[in-house]
Amino acid sequence: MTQSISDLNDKQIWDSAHAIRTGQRLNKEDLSDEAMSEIQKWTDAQPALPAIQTPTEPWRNTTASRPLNKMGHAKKHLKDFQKIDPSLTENEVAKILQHVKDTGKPSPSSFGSTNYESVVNIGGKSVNVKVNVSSGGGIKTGFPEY
Amino acid sequence: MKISDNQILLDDDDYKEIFSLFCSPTQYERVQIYLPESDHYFRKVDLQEEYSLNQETKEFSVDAWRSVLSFLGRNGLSLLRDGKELNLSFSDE
Repeated sequence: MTQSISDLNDKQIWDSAHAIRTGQRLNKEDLSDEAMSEIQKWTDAQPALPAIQTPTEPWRNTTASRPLNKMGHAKKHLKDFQKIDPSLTENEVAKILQHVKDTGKPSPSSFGSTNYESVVNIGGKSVNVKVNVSSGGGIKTGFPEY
Repeated sequence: MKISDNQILLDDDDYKEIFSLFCSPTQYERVQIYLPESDHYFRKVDLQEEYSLNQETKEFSVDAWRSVLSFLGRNGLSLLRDGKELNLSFSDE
């Protein structure tokens, strides 16, 4: 149902203004054009808002050495990652595993393999991710521990 | 698993367990396959489903060797050579 600005409480106005100033998408169906216009005017009159600190996800800048379905058994953990962030794709999970391999803390594992472990930011959550790498350097598996 | 004098007979649950061990290179994953509430619980394996695996040839051997040793050890079996028993628990480390 469309609301006019008089229907909104202070918090709703502030949230809408904040969304405009930070470039977030507003659900315009919830507000009348008049309300949107008033909020926009009010927003423009305010001093600049401080930059919002968004969680960094450096793994996004990683290039995976191979696709997830060629990282040994790792693909079976795709759903485990998607429980943390349902929007994660196979390519993104491959990037996360590659990032942990490249930056994580190594420890010896059985049969000549090595485990790498690192806390990774996924969808704003800090997640401990473990990756197992063969003696030949290939990723055998990788998963979030929770 | 049924053991007689000269053979070992496996049932579907055994095959599911061996498969789950095969595709679980880490201790953490091997714990998960024995938790009924886990998505990776071995009894949830569909034996008719296809499984594609891409990794170095050596790693197929490593996974096969590790999974068989682990399966035998978990089912109370050990290896005997020249009268000396080898405990298989190392395969789960």
